[in-house]
Amino acid sequence: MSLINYSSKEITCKIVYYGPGRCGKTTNLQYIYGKIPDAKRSSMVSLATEKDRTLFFDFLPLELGDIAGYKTRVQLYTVPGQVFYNSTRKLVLQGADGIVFVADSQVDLWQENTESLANLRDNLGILGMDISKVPLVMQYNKRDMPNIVSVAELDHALNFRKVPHYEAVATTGAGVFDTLKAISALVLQSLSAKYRR
Amino acid sequence: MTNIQFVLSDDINRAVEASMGRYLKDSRASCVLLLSKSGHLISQAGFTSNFNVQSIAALIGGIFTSTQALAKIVDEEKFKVMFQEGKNWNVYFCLISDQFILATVFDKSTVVGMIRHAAGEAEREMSPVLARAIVADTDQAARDLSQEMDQAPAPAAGVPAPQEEALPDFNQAVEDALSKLFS
Repeated sequence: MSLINYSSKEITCKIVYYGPGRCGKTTNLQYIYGKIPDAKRSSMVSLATEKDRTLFFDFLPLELGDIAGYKTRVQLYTVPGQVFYNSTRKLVLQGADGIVFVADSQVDLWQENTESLANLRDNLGILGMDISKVPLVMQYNKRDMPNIVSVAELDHALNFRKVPHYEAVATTGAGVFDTLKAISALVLQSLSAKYRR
Repeated sequence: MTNIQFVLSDDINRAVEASMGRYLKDSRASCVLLLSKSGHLISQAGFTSNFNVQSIAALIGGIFTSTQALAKIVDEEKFKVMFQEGKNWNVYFCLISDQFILATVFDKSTVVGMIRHAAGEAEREMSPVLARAIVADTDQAARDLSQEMDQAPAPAAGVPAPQEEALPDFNQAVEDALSKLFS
Protein backbone atom coordinates (compact mmCIF):
# COMPACT_ATOMS: atom_id res chain seq x y z
CA MET A 1 0.00 0.00 0.00
CA SER A 2 2.36 2.65 -1.20
CA LEU A 3 1.77 6.34 -0.80
CA ILE A 4 2.74 8.59 -3.68
CA ASN A 5 2.55 12.30 -3.07
CA TYR A 6 3.05 14.17 -6.32
CA SER A 7 2.67 17.48 -4.58
CA SER A 8 5.50 17.10 -2.09
CA LYS A 9 7.32 14.58 -4.32
CA GLU A 10 7.36 11.84 -1.71
CA ILE A 11 7.05 8.10 -2.03
CA THR A 12 6.48 5.79 0.92
CA CYS A 13 6.48 2.01 0.54
CA LYS A 14 6.04 -0.92 2.88
CA ILE A 15 8.36 -3.92 2.80
CA VAL A 16 7.60 -6.95 4.96
CA TYR A 17 10.16 -9.52 6.12
CA TYR A 18 8.39 -12.88 6.26
CA GLY A 19 9.57 -16.33 7.31
CA PRO A 20 9.43 -19.01 10.00
CA GLY A 21 10.04 -18.31 13.68
CA ARG A 22 13.64 -17.53 14.66
CA CYS A 23 14.82 -17.35 11.04
CA GLY A 24 16.37 -13.90 11.55
CA LYS A 25 13.78 -11.38 10.38
CA THR A 26 14.18 -9.14 13.40
CA THR A 27 17.95 -9.57 13.26
CA ASN A 28 17.93 -8.20 9.71
CA LEU A 29 16.19 -5.04 10.89
CA GLN A 30 18.37 -4.73 13.98
CA TYR A 31 21.50 -4.92 11.85
CA ILE A 32 20.20 -2.28 9.44
CA TYR A 33 19.17 -0.06 12.35
CA GLY A 34 22.60 -0.40 13.91
CA LYS A 35 24.27 0.80 10.73
CA ILE A 36 22.20 3.94 10.24
CA PRO A 37 24.36 6.97 11.02
CA ASP A 38 23.29 8.70 14.26
CA ALA A 39 22.28 11.87 12.45
CA LYS A 40 19.79 9.98 10.32
CA ARG A 41 18.60 7.47 12.89
CA SER A 42 15.04 7.70 14.22
CA SER A 43 13.82 4.70 16.15
CA MET A 44 13.02 1.07 15.64
CA VAL A 45 9.80 -0.15 17.16
CA SER A 46 9.68 -3.74 18.39
CA LEU A 47 6.53 -5.20 19.84
CA ALA A 48 8.01 -8.33 21.38
CA THR A 49 7.24 -10.81 24.14
CA GLU A 50 9.27 -10.92 27.36
CA LYS A 51 11.49 -13.48 25.67
CA ASP A 52 12.17 -11.15 22.75
CA ARG A 53 10.03 -13.07 20.31
CA THR A 54 8.14 -10.78 17.96
CA LEU A 55 4.57 -10.45 19.21
CA PHE A 56 3.07 -8.07 16.67
CA PHE A 57 5.72 -6.55 14.44
CA ASP A 58 9.05 -4.76 14.26
CA PHE A 59 9.07 -1.47 12.43
CA LEU A 60 12.00 0.42 11.01
CA PRO A 61 11.50 3.54 8.88
CA LEU A 62 14.31 4.28 6.43
CA GLU A 63 14.67 7.66 4.79
CA LEU A 64 16.48 6.82 1.58
CA GLY A 65 16.66 10.46 0.66
CA ASP A 66 16.25 11.90 -2.78
CA ILE A 67 15.87 9.30 -5.50
CA ALA A 68 15.54 10.90 -8.89
CA GLY A 69 13.71 13.88 -7.47
CA TYR A 70 11.48 12.00 -5.03
CA LYS A 71 11.97 11.93 -1.27
CA THR A 72 11.79 8.21 -0.79
CA ARG A 73 10.87 6.49 2.43
CA VAL A 74 10.92 2.72 2.92
CA GLN A 75 9.16 1.24 5.92
CA LEU A 76 10.44 -2.16 6.98
CA TYR A 77 8.23 -4.52 8.96
CA THR A 78 8.68 -8.04 10.25
CA VAL A 79 5.88 -10.47 11.00
CA PRO A 80 5.81 -12.74 14.03
CA GLY A 81 7.12 -16.08 12.80
CA GLN A 82 5.54 -18.37 15.33
CA VAL A 83 2.80 -20.53 13.82
CA PHE A 84 0.02 -19.50 16.21
CA TYR A 85 0.35 -15.80 15.34
CA ASN A 86 -1.11 -16.18 11.88
CA SER A 87 -3.89 -13.66 12.37
CA THR A 88 -1.26 -11.08 13.34
CA ARG A 89 0.87 -11.98 10.33
CA LYS A 90 -2.04 -11.23 8.04
CA LEU A 91 -2.54 -7.82 9.63
CA VAL A 92 1.09 -6.87 9.13
CA LEU A 93 1.15 -8.25 5.59
CA GLN A 94 -1.79 -6.07 4.62
CA GLY A 95 -0.66 -3.30 2.32
CA ALA A 96 2.81 -4.74 1.67
CA ASP A 97 4.48 -3.41 -1.49
CA GLY A 98 7.27 -5.96 -1.37
CA ILE A 99 8.27 -9.05 0.59
CA VAL A 100 11.56 -10.53 1.72
CA PHE A 101 11.16 -14.20 2.49
CA VAL A 102 13.80 -15.10 5.04
CA ALA A 103 14.50 -18.84 5.11
CA ASP A 104 16.49 -20.60 7.82
CA SER A 105 19.23 -22.61 6.10
CA GLN A 106 19.48 -25.24 8.82
CA VAL A 107 18.53 -28.77 7.80
CA ASP A 108 16.19 -29.17 10.77
CA LEU A 109 14.20 -26.11 9.71
CA TRP A 110 13.42 -27.37 6.20
CA GLN A 111 9.78 -28.08 6.94
CA GLU A 112 9.26 -24.76 8.73
CA ASN A 113 10.54 -22.93 5.66
CA THR A 114 8.20 -24.68 3.26
CA GLU A 115 5.26 -24.28 5.63
CA SER A 116 5.97 -20.60 6.08
CA LEU A 117 6.15 -20.06 2.31
CA ALA A 118 2.82 -21.85 1.89
CA ASN A 119 1.43 -19.71 4.68
CA LEU A 120 2.65 -16.59 2.88
CA ARG A 121 0.93 -17.70 -0.30
CA ASP A 122 -2.32 -18.37 1.59
CA ASN A 123 -2.27 -15.09 3.47
CA LEU A 124 -1.52 -13.06 0.36
CA GLY A 125 -4.41 -14.81 -1.36
CA ILE A 126 -6.75 -13.86 1.47
CA LEU A 127 -5.59 -10.26 1.12
CA GLY A 128 -6.27 -10.31 -2.62
CA MET A 129 -2.59 -10.34 -3.57
CA ASP A 130 -0.81 -12.79 -5.85
CA ILE A 131 2.45 -14.32 -4.66
CA SER A 132 3.50 -14.80 -8.27
CA LYS A 133 3.33 -11.06 -8.90
CA VAL A 134 4.26 -9.23 -5.73
CA PRO A 135 7.87 -7.91 -5.62
CA LEU A 136 9.74 -10.68 -3.78
CA VAL A 137 13.31 -11.47 -2.75
CA MET A 138 14.54 -14.66 -1.07
CA GLN A 139 17.15 -14.57 1.66
CA TYR A 140 18.81 -17.81 2.79
CA ASN A 141 19.92 -16.90 6.27
CA LYS A 142 22.19 -18.56 8.85
CA ARG A 143 24.76 -19.70 6.29
CA ASP A 144 27.30 -19.82 9.12
CA MET A 145 25.54 -22.66 10.92
CA PRO A 146 27.12 -26.14 10.79
CA ASN A 147 24.32 -28.28 9.41
CA ILE A 148 22.78 -26.40 6.53
CA VAL A 149 20.97 -27.13 3.29
CA SER A 150 22.74 -26.14 0.08
CA VAL A 151 21.65 -22.97 -1.67
CA ALA A 152 20.71 -24.98 -4.75
CA GLU A 153 18.36 -27.15 -2.72
CA LEU A 154 16.80 -24.17 -0.95
CA ASP A 155 16.37 -22.40 -4.25
CA HIS A 156 14.78 -25.45 -5.82
CA ALA A 157 12.35 -25.90 -2.93
CA LEU A 158 11.43 -22.30 -2.19
CA ASN A 159 12.26 -20.03 -5.08
CA PHE A 160 9.56 -21.10 -7.50
CA ARG A 161 9.57 -17.67 -9.18
CA LYS A 162 13.35 -17.57 -9.61
CA VAL A 163 13.46 -14.16 -7.96
CA PRO A 164 16.78 -12.74 -6.71
CA HIS A 165 18.15 -14.74 -3.78
CA TYR A 166 20.88 -13.90 -1.31
CA GLU A 167 22.89 -15.91 1.18
CA ALA A 168 23.02 -14.19 4.53
CA VAL A 169 24.34 -14.26 8.06
CA ALA A 170 22.10 -11.57 9.56
CA THR A 171 24.00 -11.50 12.86
CA THR A 172 27.13 -10.28 11.06
CA GLY A 173 25.29 -8.37 8.35
CA ALA A 174 26.42 -10.55 5.48
CA GLY A 175 23.81 -10.36 2.74
CA VAL A 176 21.54 -8.03 4.71
CA PHE A 177 22.12 -4.94 2.59
CA ASP A 178 22.16 -6.88 -0.66
CA THR A 179 18.69 -8.13 0.23
CA LEU A 180 17.47 -4.67 1.21
CA LYS A 181 18.82 -3.09 -1.96
CA ALA A 182 17.24 -5.74 -4.14
CA ILE A 183 13.77 -5.52 -2.62
CA SER A 184 13.82 -1.71 -2.48
CA ALA A 185 14.74 -1.52 -6.14
CA LEU A 186 12.10 -4.09 -7.11
CA VAL A 187 9.37 -2.22 -5.23
CA LEU A 188 10.27 1.16 -6.67
CA GLN A 189 10.66 -0.27 -10.16
CA SER A 190 7.27 -1.89 -9.82
CA LEU A 191 5.73 1.46 -8.92
CA SER A 192 7.63 3.16 -11.69
CA ALA A 193 6.38 0.65 -14.26
CA LYS A 194 2.80 1.05 -13.14
CA TYR A 195 2.77 4.80 -13.23
CA ARG A 196 5.04 5.56 -16.17
CA ARG A 197 3.38 7.24 -19.09
CA MET B 1 -9.96 -7.50 -0.72
CA THR B 2 -7.95 -5.57 -3.24
CA ASN B 3 -4.59 -4.12 -2.36
CA ILE B 4 -4.62 -0.40 -2.95
CA GLN B 5 -2.33 2.59 -3.21
CA PHE B 6 -2.77 6.21 -2.29
CA VAL B 7 -1.84 8.86 -4.78
CA LEU B 8 -1.98 12.45 -3.63
CA SER B 9 -2.16 15.18 -6.23
CA ASP B 10 -1.69 18.89 -5.56
CA ASP B 11 -5.38 19.64 -5.20
CA ILE B 12 -5.96 16.71 -2.83
CA ASN B 13 -3.01 17.82 -0.72
CA ARG B 14 -4.23 21.37 -0.50
CA ALA B 15 -7.74 20.32 0.46
CA VAL B 16 -6.48 17.88 3.10
CA GLU B 17 -4.10 20.41 4.63
CA ALA B 18 -6.85 23.03 4.80
CA SER B 19 -9.20 20.57 6.51
CA MET B 20 -6.50 19.46 8.94
CA GLY B 21 -5.80 23.08 9.86
CA ARG B 22 -9.47 23.82 10.48
CA TYR B 23 -9.89 20.66 12.52
CA LEU B 24 -6.87 21.47 14.66
CA LYS B 25 -8.27 24.92 15.39
CA ASP B 26 -11.86 23.80 16.02
CA SER B 27 -10.88 20.90 18.27
CA ARG B 28 -8.16 22.80 20.16
CA ALA B 29 -6.02 19.67 19.96
CA SER B 30 -2.23 19.73 20.20
CA CYS B 31 -1.59 17.82 17.03
CA VAL B 32 -3.41 15.85 14.40
CA LEU B 33 -2.10 13.05 12.19
CA LEU B 34 -3.75 11.65 9.11
CA LEU B 35 -2.48 8.23 8.10
CA SER B 36 -3.43 5.19 6.09
CA LYS B 37 -4.56 2.04 7.87
CA SER B 38 -1.25 0.46 6.97
CA GLY B 39 0.61 3.15 8.92
CA HIS B 40 1.75 5.56 6.21
CA LEU B 41 1.70 9.15 7.42
CA ILE B 42 -0.20 11.35 4.96
CA SER B 43 -0.50 14.70 6.66
CA GLN B 44 0.15 16.30 10.02
CA ALA B 45 -0.79 19.52 11.76
CA GLY B 46 0.08 21.09 15.08
CA PHE B 47 3.01 20.54 17.40
CA THR B 48 4.43 17.28 16.10
CA SER B 49 8.11 18.06 16.46
CA ASN B 50 8.31 16.43 19.90
CA PHE B 51 7.08 13.13 18.55
CA ASN B 52 8.54 10.52 16.23
CA VAL B 53 5.57 10.69 13.92
CA GLN B 54 6.65 7.85 11.62
CA SER B 55 6.75 5.40 14.52
CA ILE B 56 3.52 6.77 15.93
CA ALA B 57 1.84 6.29 12.55
CA ALA B 58 3.04 2.67 12.30
CA LEU B 59 1.84 1.89 15.81
CA ILE B 60 -1.53 3.53 15.29
CA GLY B 61 -1.91 1.58 12.05
CA GLY B 62 -1.19 -1.62 13.98
CA ILE B 63 -3.58 -0.75 16.80
CA PHE B 64 -6.38 0.15 14.43
CA THR B 65 -5.92 -2.85 12.17
CA SER B 66 -5.90 -5.29 15.07
CA THR B 67 -8.97 -3.58 16.51
CA GLN B 68 -10.84 -4.13 13.25
CA ALA B 69 -9.90 -7.82 13.42
CA LEU B 70 -11.30 -7.85 16.95
CA ALA B 71 -14.51 -6.23 15.69
CA LYS B 72 -15.01 -9.02 13.19
CA ILE B 73 -14.54 -11.66 15.90
CA VAL B 74 -17.32 -10.12 17.99
CA ASP B 75 -19.50 -9.89 14.90
CA GLU B 76 -19.24 -6.13 14.55
CA GLU B 77 -18.60 -4.64 11.11
CA LYS B 78 -15.95 -2.25 12.38
CA PHE B 79 -14.94 -0.11 15.33
CA LYS B 80 -14.89 3.38 13.96
CA VAL B 81 -13.60 5.28 16.96
CA MET B 82 -11.02 4.63 19.66
CA PHE B 83 -9.97 6.72 22.61
CA GLN B 84 -6.85 6.34 24.78
CA GLU B 85 -6.74 8.33 27.98
CA GLY B 86 -3.48 9.13 29.77
CA LYS B 87 -2.43 11.28 32.71
CA ASN B 88 -1.32 14.22 30.56
CA TRP B 89 -2.09 13.26 27.00
CA ASN B 90 -5.02 11.62 25.30
CA VAL B 91 -5.35 10.22 21.81
CA TYR B 92 -8.58 10.01 19.84
CA PHE B 93 -8.70 7.92 16.67
CA CYS B 94 -11.41 7.77 14.05
CA LEU B 95 -11.70 6.00 10.74
CA ILE B 96 -12.27 8.02 7.56
CA SER B 97 -13.46 6.45 4.31
CA ASP B 98 -12.58 3.01 5.70
CA GLN B 99 -8.93 3.48 4.65
CA PHE B 100 -7.63 6.42 6.64
CA ILE B 101 -7.18 7.15 10.33
CA LEU B 102 -7.43 10.58 11.86
CA ALA B 103 -5.43 10.54 15.11
CA THR B 104 -5.77 13.47 17.46
CA VAL B 105 -3.40 14.10 20.36
CA PHE B 106 -4.75 16.47 23.00
CA ASP B 107 -4.23 17.56 26.58
CA LYS B 108 -6.42 19.10 29.26
CA SER B 109 -6.98 22.29 27.29
CA THR B 110 -9.86 20.59 25.46
CA VAL B 111 -12.30 17.78 26.10
CA VAL B 112 -13.06 14.58 24.26
CA GLY B 113 -16.60 15.75 23.43
CA MET B 114 -15.26 18.70 21.51
CA ILE B 115 -12.71 16.51 19.75
CA ARG B 116 -15.42 14.07 18.81
CA HIS B 117 -17.69 16.77 17.42
CA ALA B 118 -14.91 18.45 15.44
CA ALA B 119 -13.64 15.09 14.16
CA GLY B 120 -17.11 14.34 12.79
CA GLU B 121 -17.02 17.60 10.86
CA ALA B 122 -13.51 16.90 9.61
CA GLU B 123 -14.52 13.44 8.51
CA ARG B 124 -17.43 14.75 6.48
CA GLU B 125 -15.14 17.30 4.87
CA MET B 126 -12.20 14.99 4.13
CA SER B 127 -14.02 11.79 3.11
CA PRO B 128 -14.84 12.79 -0.48
CA VAL B 129 -11.40 14.33 -0.98
CA LEU B 130 -9.51 11.30 0.33
CA ALA B 131 -11.68 8.89 -1.64
CA ARG B 132 -10.12 10.42 -4.77
CA ALA B 133 -6.64 9.42 -3.57
CA ILE B 134 -7.41 5.69 -3.48
CA VAL B 135 -6.15 3.66 -6.41
CA ALA B 136 -6.60 -0.09 -6.82
CA ASP B 137 -3.18 -1.71 -6.81
CA THR B 138 -3.59 -4.56 -9.22
CA ASP B 139 -1.96 -5.08 -12.56
CA GLN B 140 -5.32 -4.91 -14.24
CA ALA B 141 -6.13 -1.67 -12.46
CA ALA B 142 -2.77 -0.26 -13.48
CA ARG B 143 -3.36 -1.23 -17.09
CA ASP B 144 -6.78 0.33 -17.01
CA LEU B 145 -5.36 3.46 -15.50
CA SER B 146 -2.57 3.55 -18.05
CA GLN B 147 -5.06 3.25 -20.90
CA GLU B 148 -7.13 6.03 -19.47
CA MET B 149 -4.05 8.19 -19.28
CA ASP B 150 -3.12 7.56 -22.90
CA GLN B 151 -6.57 7.87 -24.37
CA ALA B 152 -8.49 10.28 -22.26
CA PRO B 153 -7.71 13.95 -21.79
CA ALA B 154 -8.64 13.73 -18.11
CA PRO B 155 -9.30 10.92 -15.66
CA ALA B 156 -12.89 9.91 -15.10
CA ALA B 157 -14.77 11.36 -12.17
CA GLY B 158 -13.73 9.74 -8.91
CA VAL B 159 -10.39 8.59 -10.27
CA PRO B 160 -7.40 10.54 -8.97
CA ALA B 161 -5.00 12.26 -11.32
CA PRO B 162 -1.74 10.70 -10.21
CA GLN B 163 -0.03 10.88 -13.57
CA GLU B 164 0.73 14.56 -13.55
CA GLU B 165 4.24 13.47 -14.32
CA ALA B 166 5.89 10.09 -14.72
CA LEU B 167 7.85 8.53 -11.90
CA PRO B 168 11.56 8.28 -12.61
CA ASP B 169 13.55 5.12 -13.25
CA PHE B 170 14.84 3.82 -9.94
CA ASN B 171 17.42 1.21 -11.00
CA GLN B 172 20.78 2.75 -10.14
CA ALA B 173 19.24 5.44 -7.95
CA VAL B 174 18.26 2.94 -5.23
CA GLU B 175 21.76 1.52 -5.09
CA ASP B 176 23.25 5.01 -4.81
CA ALA B 177 20.76 6.17 -2.16
CA LEU B 178 21.36 3.18 0.08
CA SER B 179 25.13 3.48 -0.28
CA LYS B 180 24.88 7.15 0.62
CA LEU B 181 22.60 6.54 3.61
CA PHE B 182 24.84 3.91 5.17
CA SER B 183 28.19 5.38 4.26
